[in-house]
Amino acid sequence: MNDPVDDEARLRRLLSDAVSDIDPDSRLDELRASVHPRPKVVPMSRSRSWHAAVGIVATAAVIGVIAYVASMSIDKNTSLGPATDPGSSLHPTTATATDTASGLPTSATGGTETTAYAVYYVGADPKGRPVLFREFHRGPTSEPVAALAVDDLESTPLDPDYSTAWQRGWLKGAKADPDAGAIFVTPSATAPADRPAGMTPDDARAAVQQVVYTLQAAFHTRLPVRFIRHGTPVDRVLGVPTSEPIAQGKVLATLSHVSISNPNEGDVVSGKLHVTGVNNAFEGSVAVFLRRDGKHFLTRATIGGTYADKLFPWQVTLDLSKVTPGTYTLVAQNDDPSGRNRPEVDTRVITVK
Amino acid sequence: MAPTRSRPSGWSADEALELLYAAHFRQLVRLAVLLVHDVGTAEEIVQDCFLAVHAKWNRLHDPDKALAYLRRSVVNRSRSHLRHLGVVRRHADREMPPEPAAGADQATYDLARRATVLDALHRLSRRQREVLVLRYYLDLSEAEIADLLGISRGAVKSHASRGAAALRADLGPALEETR
Repeated sequence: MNDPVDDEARLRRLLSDAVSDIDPDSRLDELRASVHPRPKVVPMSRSRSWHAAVGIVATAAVIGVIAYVASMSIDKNTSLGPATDPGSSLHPTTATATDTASGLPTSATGGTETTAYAVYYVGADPKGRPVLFREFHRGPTSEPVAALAVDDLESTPLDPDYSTAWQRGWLKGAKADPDAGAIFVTPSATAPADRPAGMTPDDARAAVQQVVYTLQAAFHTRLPVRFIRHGTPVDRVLGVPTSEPIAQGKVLATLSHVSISNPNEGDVVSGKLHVTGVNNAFEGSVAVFLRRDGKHFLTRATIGGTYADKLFPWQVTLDLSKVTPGTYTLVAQNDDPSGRNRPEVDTRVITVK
Repeated sequence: MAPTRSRPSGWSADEALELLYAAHFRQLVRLAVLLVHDVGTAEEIVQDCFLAVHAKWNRLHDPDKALAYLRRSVVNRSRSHLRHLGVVRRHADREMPPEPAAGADQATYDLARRATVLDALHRLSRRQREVLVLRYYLDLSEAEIADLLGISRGAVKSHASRGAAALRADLGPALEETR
């Protein structure tokens, strides 16, 4: 028979684990805007110009809290699934009654008009291999998240260090169908079946995984992705065999081992900068610092995680109050015990005001 | 869980909002996800709760009371949301098939397990779900749960034991594997 104490401990772990990968998008700026007639931050755009509003997402991560907040312990976080995204939510128009694990539609309660979602772009690891990095974008709730995400897959990422293999119009609608056990996406007739010149097989595989990770995040499910056209599987996309459903690639073989979640590229920041991200590194160690003209400032070490095939959250607060205003590169750098000086990094160019 | 640092001479409503947000926002969103089963909705609910705390700060004036108020608001608003969705919807959800496993790697496995737990929680009665989440996620005592939900300790006990039994039956293997 079960030991009741043991059983309670398991329930505790299970519930805690069930939401351990929920890392909600910051709502602080929206809250500030709601409680003050003249908010310091421009409210979210409601129009299609949400691309411009994307930068605000990360501004929202700049928590101007008074000094000792940094020392307060914020809810501990045990693990973060790589593709589970703050604010990502169900595709409202494809929410068939049995749609995905989340099961319920998104909005309904407050008056917020935008929603956050994740888009995976291709960057390079220290060896030059293509790996995926995640950017958080925001779009109007009036549009299906998957449509926004697919649109962004075919658009230039915010961070110029990243790129996308997908060109405008290559992907059409996507929908999740749990009954069929898959997410379906339609490559357009212009999407190349063969690997384009100059694209390596690794690049092509990364491109397909861009779609898998992004759509799984948008639909909040780990169902594999099927590329179909006119109801039948497409044999190859970018030279990658796609006649069978494509499952999510292993995290550490597919994603960058360090990634900054907040702030976003191009953000204007001040005060306390709350930097968050995920990593997997030797002893979990990651260093976060500002770089300008080859010099490092405000270096802080923190710990994400190691071993398992997943990424672990980390967070660190940088006090920018004494930093000379200007443009800096924010760097998150995994510890590199090899001594070869090829650490895994992710960067954001930000402006301190 | 991180108790908010207590400071008797008060914060302004704005300071309270920032502090409470920094300390509790994420955990409250997670609490709401356990209750309503949807991240976007959970974020909206919690955001509304913080706005309510800001509006009532003059009366609350105490971080500990504010946290209790926030938790109660999250539970109540989650409940209203589910009620709003209606019986038909909930029946449809009860009939949802379990999330199929998408692959064999650990990350996929973890995600599938989490989805299974959220699904199983969603199949419990509302009271059972609330009691279990408050007890096992927030680690509240029976007395605290009774106070928060406005029910007797006996009712908390009985919802907890029936809910745990139902969850155990539903989750069997997943529960066994959680060590």
